Amino acid sequence: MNQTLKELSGLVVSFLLLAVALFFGAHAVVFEAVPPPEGEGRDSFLAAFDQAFLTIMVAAAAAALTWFVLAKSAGVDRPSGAGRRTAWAVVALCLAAVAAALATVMFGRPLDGSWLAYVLLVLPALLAFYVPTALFSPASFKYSPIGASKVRRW
Amino acid sequence: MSRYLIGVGGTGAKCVEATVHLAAAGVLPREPVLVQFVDPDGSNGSLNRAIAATRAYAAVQQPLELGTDPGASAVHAFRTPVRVGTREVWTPFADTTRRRLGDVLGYQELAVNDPGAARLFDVLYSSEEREEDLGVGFRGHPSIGAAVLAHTLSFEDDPTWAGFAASVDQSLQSPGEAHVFLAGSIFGGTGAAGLPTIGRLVREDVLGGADGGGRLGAALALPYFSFQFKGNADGLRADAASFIPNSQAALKYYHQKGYLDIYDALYVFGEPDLQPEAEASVGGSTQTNAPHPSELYGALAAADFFHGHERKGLQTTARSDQERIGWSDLPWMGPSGVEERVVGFARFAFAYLGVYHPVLREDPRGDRHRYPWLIDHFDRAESVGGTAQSVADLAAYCRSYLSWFAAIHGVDRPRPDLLEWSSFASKNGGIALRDPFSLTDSDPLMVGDGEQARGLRAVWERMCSAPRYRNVHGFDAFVRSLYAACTTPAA
Repeated sequence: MNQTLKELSGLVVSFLLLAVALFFGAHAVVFEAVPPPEGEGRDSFLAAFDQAFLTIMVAAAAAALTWFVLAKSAGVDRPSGAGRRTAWAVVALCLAAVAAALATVMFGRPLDGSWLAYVLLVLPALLAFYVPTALFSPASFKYSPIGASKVRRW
Repeated sequence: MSRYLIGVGGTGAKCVEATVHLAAAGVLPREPVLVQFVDPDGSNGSLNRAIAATRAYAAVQQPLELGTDPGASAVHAFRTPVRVGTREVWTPFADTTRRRLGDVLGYQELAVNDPGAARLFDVLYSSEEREEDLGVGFRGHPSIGAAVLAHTLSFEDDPTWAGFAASVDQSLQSPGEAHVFLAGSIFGGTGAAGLPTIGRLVREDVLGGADGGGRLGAALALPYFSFQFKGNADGLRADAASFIPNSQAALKYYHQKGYLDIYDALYVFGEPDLQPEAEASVGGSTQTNAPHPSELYGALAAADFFHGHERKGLQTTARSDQERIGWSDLPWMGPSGVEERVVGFARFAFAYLGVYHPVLREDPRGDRHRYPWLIDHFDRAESVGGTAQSVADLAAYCRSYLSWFAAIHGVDRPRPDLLEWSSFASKNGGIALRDPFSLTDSDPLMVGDGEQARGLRAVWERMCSAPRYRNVHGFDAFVRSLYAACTTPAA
């Protein structure tokens, strides 16, 4: 298996596993700890949350793949081309903004009382972006995600 | 030590220089090599360049010890320990006040005590030959050199040669271990005088004669360069016009005196077209002849001999094209291709100087994420700053290696097609290293090789994805990793 395929499959598999785990985890927390707004049933509240969650995860997957493609196509043949941490951070910030926007548009419940649901929509997306990119970025940029050297060694 | 390399005269020193560069590329076996230079002219420019290359090599090789780690069998670079003798250059004129033939052989005393012998001296040597200051060499007169060397070289009284003999004697305790190789020209002064004289003395006094142990070999350089003095140079001096007749006479002498029997292997190389040297010099620091591709023949002969290959008779060189030297023209029967190792190391040197050395020199502590290989190899070891000397030493040696290969490409006939030097050097009179390199890629280093998978980008990627070594950290691990990234065949 060549290096690119190894890195890409690592990125995809780790993302899927993490996304599934985060989905069930977030769903369980929302089910237990976030009451639906007055006049709304728990089922429709959870269905809206799940749908927003999955859409935001798709955005996170797109962000992770965008970083991967950017890094892979950049390549490095001299020190001046190395690093690109700023590019990674920009992708992460864009994802945070998109996740917040999608959460507002798709979930759209009052912040008061549902703030934890919003946190559980945005934070897992960032986590699902961070962990696979920290572990499986192309070799030349493997430590570009902040803290990646510690994550990889841990 | 089990391999001994004696560079006799300026050409011998240049062959040693080429041998050192082949050692860096991993063409020589792992056994340690002790180098001894022999030259009455210690300030000879060619000699000093060879000494500098040998020192630069040893400065890198000694701390790395790549060849001695059983887990590093794939690292060929710097695997051969190369050391110089206690006195780098042995000169027959230890007493600098007695540097004339008449002084060395005691002509004045003879004239008083033994007038007959003094008159014989007069017949054999002209007054000019007796009285010339030999501090800059034997001035192309091997008859002077042979007399001086035979009189002064002693394996008992001279500490340099006594140490040499003791070391060889120790090597002889292990069967087949002592390999003594001499290199030099047979058309000039010091080499022509020293090769037969020192060869015979080593065979008889150190290796125990024809029935003794060990092996003795030599690379004899026939003419491959010429020069012309501008204006009138005073005193005795080498004359390029006599190179061919000198060589004829020397070869006849070797044949008649049975030197094929003294040496276990004799390698002979030269060129039909003599490369004109830019500057002619009677000796001293101005005698700096540029490296020549023919010296690769001498170096390959040393490598062949040190590998223990049995060669009967005279080994000579031949080429398919008189105008050009390519890899296929270099005779080699070793376990691996010379081209593969020399080009692989050139790629290593190019990548190190152009890409990695600047990072290591700066030691970007707050910016390390940009260089994954730096984190992988240096975080668990000392900081890069702790190995600053090794970092600088490797850069110095890589410059020496690339400069040498660039310089031999400055020769017009035969025109070498070995490395595409324009990526790291430029022609301005001679050929000198670019600073900084153009860094287009490292692929063009190999003539006719379009293998993109070895370019600088692929090397960087390999450096970043290479697994960490278990027992090696820091600069040592970095060097192994970069060498592997530059030499491993493309997948």
